[in-house]
Amino acid sequence: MAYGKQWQTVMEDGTVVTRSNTWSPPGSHPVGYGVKVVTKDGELIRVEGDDDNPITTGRVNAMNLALREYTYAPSRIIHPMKRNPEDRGKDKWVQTTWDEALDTICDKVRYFQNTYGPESIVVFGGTGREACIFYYALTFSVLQSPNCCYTQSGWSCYGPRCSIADYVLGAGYPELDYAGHLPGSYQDPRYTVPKWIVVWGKEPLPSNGDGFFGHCLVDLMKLGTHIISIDPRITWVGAHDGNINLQVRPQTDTALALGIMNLMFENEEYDQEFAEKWIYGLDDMKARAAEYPVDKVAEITGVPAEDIKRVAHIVGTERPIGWAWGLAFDQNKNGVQLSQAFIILAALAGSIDRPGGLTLGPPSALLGKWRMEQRGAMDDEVWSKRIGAAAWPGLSTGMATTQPDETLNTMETDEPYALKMGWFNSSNFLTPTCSAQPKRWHKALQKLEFVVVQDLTMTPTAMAVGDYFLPMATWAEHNGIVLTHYGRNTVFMGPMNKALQVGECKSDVEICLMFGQRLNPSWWPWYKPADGKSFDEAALATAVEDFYSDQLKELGMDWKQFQEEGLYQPGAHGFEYEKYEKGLLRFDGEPGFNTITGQIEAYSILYESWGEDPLPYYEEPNYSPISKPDFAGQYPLITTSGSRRYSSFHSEHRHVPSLRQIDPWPWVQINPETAEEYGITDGDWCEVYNMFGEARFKAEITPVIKPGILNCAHGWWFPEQDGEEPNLFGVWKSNFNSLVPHFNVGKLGFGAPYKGVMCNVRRVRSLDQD
Amino acid sequence: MADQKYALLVDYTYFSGNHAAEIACKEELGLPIDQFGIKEVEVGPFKKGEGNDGDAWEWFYLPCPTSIFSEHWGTGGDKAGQRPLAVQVEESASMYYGTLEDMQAKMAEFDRPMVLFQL
Repeated sequence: MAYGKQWQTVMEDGTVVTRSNTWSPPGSHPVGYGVKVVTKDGELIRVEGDDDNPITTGRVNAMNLALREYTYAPSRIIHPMKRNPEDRGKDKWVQTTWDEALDTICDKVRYFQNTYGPESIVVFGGTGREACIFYYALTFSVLQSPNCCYTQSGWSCYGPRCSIADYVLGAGYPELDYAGHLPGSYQDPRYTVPKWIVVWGKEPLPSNGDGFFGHCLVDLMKLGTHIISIDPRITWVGAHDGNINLQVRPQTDTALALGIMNLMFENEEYDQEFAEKWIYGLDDMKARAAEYPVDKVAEITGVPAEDIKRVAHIVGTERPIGWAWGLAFDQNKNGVQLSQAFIILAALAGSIDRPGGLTLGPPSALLGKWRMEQRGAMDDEVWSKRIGAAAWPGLSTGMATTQPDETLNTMETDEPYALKMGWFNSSNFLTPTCSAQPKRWHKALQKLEFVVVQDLTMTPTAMAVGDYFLPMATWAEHNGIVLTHYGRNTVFMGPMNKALQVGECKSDVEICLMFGQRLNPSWWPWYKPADGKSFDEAALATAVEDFYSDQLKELGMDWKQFQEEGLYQPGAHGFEYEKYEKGLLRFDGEPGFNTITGQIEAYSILYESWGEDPLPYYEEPNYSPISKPDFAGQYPLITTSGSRRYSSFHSEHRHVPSLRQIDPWPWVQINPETAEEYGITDGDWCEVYNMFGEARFKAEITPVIKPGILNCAHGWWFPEQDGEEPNLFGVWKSNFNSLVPHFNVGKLGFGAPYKGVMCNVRRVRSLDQD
Repeated sequence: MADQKYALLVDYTYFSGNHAAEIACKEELGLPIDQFGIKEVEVGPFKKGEGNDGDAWEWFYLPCPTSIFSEHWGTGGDKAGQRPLAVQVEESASMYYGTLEDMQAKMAEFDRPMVLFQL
């Protein structure tokens, strides 16, 4: 039923309806699905849609609809817990209080800061959740360490695309223009529906990557848009009449991009006016692209030459062309070049910051800006100790974190110094969500003397290494702000409004406020407990509102006004297209892009300064049967991974019955021809293995993937199994990331082959039996 | 009208198989885990033509209303005439609910294959 636009309504029967927007934990990237949270007597009844949200218009994904099950799951942790470090791996947790946890943890932090230096503390941040805004602040201004780590080898998720956009395009993350920033949505007079959208290495309907509402592709298809799908699989979107599929061999996308570009140059089918004016190194780029004639590219990629020609013609001549780039750009050793080539292609298609093309954000805004400012809490000497920063300037210039692979090396060798304390902020990375070679991480983590875990359920990671467990609130249990793309291209923002309290759970910002007040009050002035120390619920609630009011000042609002407003779309507040023409991208206010040359750099000055080829090039993946012919007999197949389904957000929902019912077991997609060759039938348990490791999945025989290519599920653990060591909820059984090599990254420190390593497959009896 | 008929209309070219309607029904009706008000079925994917373009593939989903759904939203049901949560939240916005007459008229507005479930 409809409840209106006010942020909270109390019905006659005592039911309370709270208008809100979603952001994991749990359920999704910062999509901000507009929802109504229905509660009664403080209990969550259900989640409904918000018809008045102009983007999601009442629609809500399965995971957020299952919030009630998640909220009251028996395995959820709702009080602070502690465990003797000698009992790591055993289910010997005991309940404690926030006051005790704060006292002990702060004492430990000060001890490690004073004894070994603040750099001996490392924070591990998880992917996609609201923690992405706060784990930087937790590291830099609360714990005052330079070592904030996202453990995915080669930082292979979103960070590379953002950094390359920063280096080459001089703007925040470019996103498909789906009219999300415009109050009139697709009918807004400023908007044009794209004729074609290139959806590349991305399946946004289930994934909603980085807050992009994936089902806008369906909305646009209904309005006449066609899709060019570039993916090793045929996707459901690509399988629609009139759409085009380029079924690329995994990890060869950069060759395809250069091949398409070459045809556009050869046929002079591109936006010449834009290119002449705004692309730096155009002639060099033409010469480089000429090294990728279509027949050569067809052979490398496995995509028929005729299809490449057709796509080059469409992209070169139809307008507008929209673009959606995905995780496949990051999970590739050659991905830096792919992202660079993609930006040039979009520029040649005249799509940059134009209606129906790609929108650009300023480099960072609102909470994104605050997040980056937190590094100022450390002096230069401490900041200079950031792990891997000096050795990997191509990564550490764009990202404020450590280089992830370098971090594992440091933990294993204690060079250049030993890490002593760890803090997991919403990261369950022993489960195959991000880190490569998770068994090595597991061993290295045991060396940490003290470990704090912030999460909602007892994960394999928490069970293995946690000493303190701080229970987190869901999006319905705290106040906050959802902003798409974490502030790097804020298509819209919306308030998360607290609708209920469960146990003693706290949000990311509340945990930062509480620990910040103790450890670094000059940077964390908002929380003022009555006696200066003991937990004060009312003071904390006020602190959260004051914190957000301070952040919202630049929009001329405070928290209460924002809450009433319900949504902020830049299109209602002066958003403009073609910002590069209007002096809206550069800090000096001049027209152009915020790069060294002021143009889009096909020839990258920064890449060159870091010893990388300034122009994009293709490189054969180095764990393929072609580059490793000696191993081709043993591992003749290629497996990709990391694609998403509606039933889980990475490892987040394996314990939620209605979602587990949808995808009960980890799966591997196999072409019928390959399955027959290996004696595998649909539903068989299989082991996928290579020189690095092995993992088990149930076979899903499907023609959407080519012969010789597998696609394995990620994020699997088995909450129903024994949680103690060595089983750890079965975390090693279907652990795809065991097959991914450590430190096989590109020259800038970005990109690892999660989406393409050589492997073999054999049938086994079950998950546990050969 | 006690004998008013109701229907669920599905634009199945675009219904994306996102499972939101399934979960929504379980939540709205308080169903146990093994029962469904809406259950999706998948057809395909299979190849029906040459090449790899969209028109060479068949792949669609149907959200099927069970008898549980009809009991609540069909003739004489306690929720008859009220928009089901499943219809509101379904992510591809390809399900419609209303009187049989309204849904027949709605169906005629489309020039592509549709499925009409009389509840």
